[in-house]
Amino acid sequence: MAAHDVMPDIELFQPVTVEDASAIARRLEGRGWVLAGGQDTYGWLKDRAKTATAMIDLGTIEALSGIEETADGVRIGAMTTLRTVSRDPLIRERYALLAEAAGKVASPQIRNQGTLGGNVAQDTRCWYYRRGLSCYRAGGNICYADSPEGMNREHAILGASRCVAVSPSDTGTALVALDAVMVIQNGGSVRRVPAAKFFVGPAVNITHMTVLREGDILTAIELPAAWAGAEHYFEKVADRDVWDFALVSIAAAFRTSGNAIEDARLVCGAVSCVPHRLNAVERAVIGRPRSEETAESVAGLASQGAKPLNFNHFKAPLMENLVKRALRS
Amino acid sequence: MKFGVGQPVPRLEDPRLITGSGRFTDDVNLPDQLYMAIARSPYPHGSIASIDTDAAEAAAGVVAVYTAADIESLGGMPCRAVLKDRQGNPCFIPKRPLLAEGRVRFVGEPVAAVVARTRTEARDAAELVLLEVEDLPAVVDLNAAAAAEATVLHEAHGSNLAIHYENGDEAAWEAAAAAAAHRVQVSLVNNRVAPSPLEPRAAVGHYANGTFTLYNPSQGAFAQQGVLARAIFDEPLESIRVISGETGGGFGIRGEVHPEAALTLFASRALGAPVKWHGDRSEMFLSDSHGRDNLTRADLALDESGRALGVRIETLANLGAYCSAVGPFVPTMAGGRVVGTVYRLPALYHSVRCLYTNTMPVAAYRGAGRPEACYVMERLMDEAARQLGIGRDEIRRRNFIPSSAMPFVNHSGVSISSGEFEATMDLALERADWAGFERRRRRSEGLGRLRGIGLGYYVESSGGGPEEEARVRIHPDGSAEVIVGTYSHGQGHETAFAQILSDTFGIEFDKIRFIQGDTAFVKFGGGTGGSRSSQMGGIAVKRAGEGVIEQGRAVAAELLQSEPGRVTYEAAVYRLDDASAQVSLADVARAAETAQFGGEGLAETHRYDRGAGTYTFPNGAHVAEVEIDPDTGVLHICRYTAVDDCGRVINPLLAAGQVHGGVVQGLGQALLENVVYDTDGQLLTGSFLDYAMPFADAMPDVDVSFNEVLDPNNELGVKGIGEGGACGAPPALVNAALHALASRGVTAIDMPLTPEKLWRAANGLSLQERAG
Repeated sequence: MAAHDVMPDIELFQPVTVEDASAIARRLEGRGWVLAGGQDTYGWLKDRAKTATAMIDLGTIEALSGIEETADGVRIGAMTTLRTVSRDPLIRERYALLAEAAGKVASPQIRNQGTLGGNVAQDTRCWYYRRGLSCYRAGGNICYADSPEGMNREHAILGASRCVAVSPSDTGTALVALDAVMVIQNGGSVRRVPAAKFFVGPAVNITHMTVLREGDILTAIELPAAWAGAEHYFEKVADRDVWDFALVSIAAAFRTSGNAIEDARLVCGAVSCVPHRLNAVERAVIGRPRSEETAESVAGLASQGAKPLNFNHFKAPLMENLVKRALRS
Repeated sequence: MKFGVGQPVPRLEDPRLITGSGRFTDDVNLPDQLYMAIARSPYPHGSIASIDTDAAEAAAGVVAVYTAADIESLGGMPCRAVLKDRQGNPCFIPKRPLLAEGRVRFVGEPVAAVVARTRTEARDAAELVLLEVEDLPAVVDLNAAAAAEATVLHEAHGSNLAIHYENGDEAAWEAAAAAAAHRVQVSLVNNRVAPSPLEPRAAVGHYANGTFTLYNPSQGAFAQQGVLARAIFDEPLESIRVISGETGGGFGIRGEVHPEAALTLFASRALGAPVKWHGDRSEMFLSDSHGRDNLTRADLALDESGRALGVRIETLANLGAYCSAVGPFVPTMAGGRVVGTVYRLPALYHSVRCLYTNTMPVAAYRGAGRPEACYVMERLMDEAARQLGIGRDEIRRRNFIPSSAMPFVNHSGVSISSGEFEATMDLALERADWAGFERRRRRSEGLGRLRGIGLGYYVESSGGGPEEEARVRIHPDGSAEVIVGTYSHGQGHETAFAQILSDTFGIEFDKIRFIQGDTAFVKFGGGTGGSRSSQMGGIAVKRAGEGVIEQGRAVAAELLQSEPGRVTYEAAVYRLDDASAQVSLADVARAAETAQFGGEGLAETHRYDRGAGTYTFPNGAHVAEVEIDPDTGVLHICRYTAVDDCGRVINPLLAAGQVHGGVVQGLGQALLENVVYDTDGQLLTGSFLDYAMPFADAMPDVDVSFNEVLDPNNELGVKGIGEGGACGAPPALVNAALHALASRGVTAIDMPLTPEKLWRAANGLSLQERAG
């Protein structure tokens, strides 16, 4: 009786191979909730806004954890904890941008339990949606956040389409900046999706934040050698320094030759439904040094096209300030 | 004395608490208990058209569903604040029903209680209760509530004004203002906070054999027992037993019983089984009393040299939809007793309009009125210093009530008995290296950051109810048992009172057993609140202990065949004054239990009466130094210095713990915490994701020290330490932020100082967060 008072009855599957996990997911036809570290999942259940009748726990699949060097970079198992990612010597040495981003997720307790795969696949934190209201994302036909009285300080200023929720992932920005590749297995077939295409906005699919579909298991994330050891900058601005989601974050990577930037990636988090790549800024900085002058001259490009809502006008200048900081140091 | 008063003794209660063997209310499970869930109003304001409980009643596992119609025999939640305005009109206090009657007046108001076999079944069924209302406009904003055309929450009363409280002399203020060389005005928000004890509220109600037993977190079981017996059930006091095991934080709001606790008892009586209710965190945001929520305009008149001539403070105070147990007392008299705080003010006028709005009722929260009063004066002092071009420490120096003027009777007729305000401030300035600030500011400037330093001086009037009782018994094995009417919901009374008794008796610390929080054993007491436990419970304990020693002396004299006057007592031994014979405290206790000595044992009950209208005056100076990043608005607290005068420090570890806790709560209010209702009256901050409680990252290393100025009116010399941090931190931090932003032309900002607000201020943007 006591157990029943905390959790609803859930059928729990603990497969030991990815193939089994995928097969169970397909057999359950959408009823199977794929569980990684549980840090997003349990919140939904506790708040009673979503319920699950069956869960597929990936924690029992050993092959999904661990970090290894490959011929073309590094491969991180999707079930590797955020703590491991943030502390791993190889990641810290070659992809410090990702280590920093992973180290800024939530709190130490959550990083001990939360996984890199879970962090990129987590659901949005729009408070209307999380409360269980029937909004566009939940299959309804209204956006509460974008209504005249909606409270939308945390919401999108770019790339919105009916839904104005943002991607809450701190590591997603770093992975897009590093041209990471997401390895997805469904049954026996494996496909590789660039991080930038892994996340999808509401114009593409309003009820899913990623390309993951029924039976898809995100198994690994590959970081290409091309960005190993690149100069980088990461900053997450939030109301609190721990256990909070970004108001705006930036992940930037630079390859330089002499003083000049040869190639750059600048990606902002929490401004759009997907990690938002600043293409115009990236183009504008090629051939220039990381300097105050470069920072000042290109920062204005960062928020081009922004359409702020009532309470989030601050995000555009904040993006610009973060771009400046990324280009200065 | 290793474990005596003044020693840094580690807390006796901690091994139990940190190993999970403490017993909180949710740890209580009785055989065959049922579970209750509450269906709450999703509407801020409306006339109830119908409450359809059919689906809930038919749901799996449901045993009963109650609405207001089913509990007509019960009274409402009482308010014990007795207030009259200057014309003699009493404060308007509407009935606060346990379950909504006729109207719903805030989101989260209990509408129906569902009892089922399991908690999940009860919660599932509660979601099936269908409430239909005819919507009424929601009144959320204080200014709107006060407007003549406002929708009225309690129609029969005709307006939302509960009381217009006044204090001081308006004509004297007008005269002072007319004569002033300088006038300084501030307009302030004291933001609404959700106190959020770590332990969400829970209750287990059990009615059996004509007795109600309630397990419930509290700040002292008596207040709850009295309310349940007299106001709600109309039953004799002795038919209700309230037991509080461990309570995971009180902060004022656990000082009162909430409707759910009474409903578990009602349901248990009706169903013949124990009934348990446990709210979850979001439910706490909706239904645990809130704190603060004032809008204040203050006006300070000064002479040429910066000496205050008078002050006018006008406040709109939000009561919520109904009065909590203390409701209108907090913004009026609780703070009003020390309005004007530590400053000599020849004239003072204080006006508070207490208003009803469609929000959760507001109750006492750490400091209850005193932090609000201090915040007003400290903001005024800084603004005056700025406008007059005087140092912020100097203007305070010129206006402090000097210790030579103590006792000092203030405008509220309260006699401030002791305090060395200037010396305490100087100590804080020295420890904070106030003089060396400019060097540190330049270093920050070089890094592109804005640095500021700020000061907050506070005083409280503490003590709460003027009576407290303790019973001390010595067992035949020489151990002591102490029963006291105060209540420790985390502070460490078990340790502090043991220290006092260890001192009094000269017995081992671990031979003292502490009992609190159960009305079956503790017969009288005022509970804990208003920094009263050490000064009230502490003295009752000490005097009861001394009474026991005297009782024992008479027994010892007989045993030693001598006169009590010849018997001395030291370290658990009675001796004849010529040292020719002795008898131990344990032997005396054993003898006292025999028929020869009446068989009552060695025990003494002492009821300490401080005297109505008297208080102690904890006070202190807090200095905060902050750095603001103008690019992001992120504020970093570089340094925090607290010098508190809480009278005698019984245990420096416990006292420092209270300072830390108070500072972090004050810091939370100043920087992050804010309960937000939207304009329609919906609560937006319903979880810890949306309600920004500070985390460890925000907490600076607090430099804690004490200037012990002993209270002249009690023999321990204690004043209280529970609330000072919550009083000192908000003005210290906000003044520091304003100092940092001064170079950007910012002269006013309201709590909470979120990064966005600071960033807007630093960049010359409107502080209004809504664009357009």
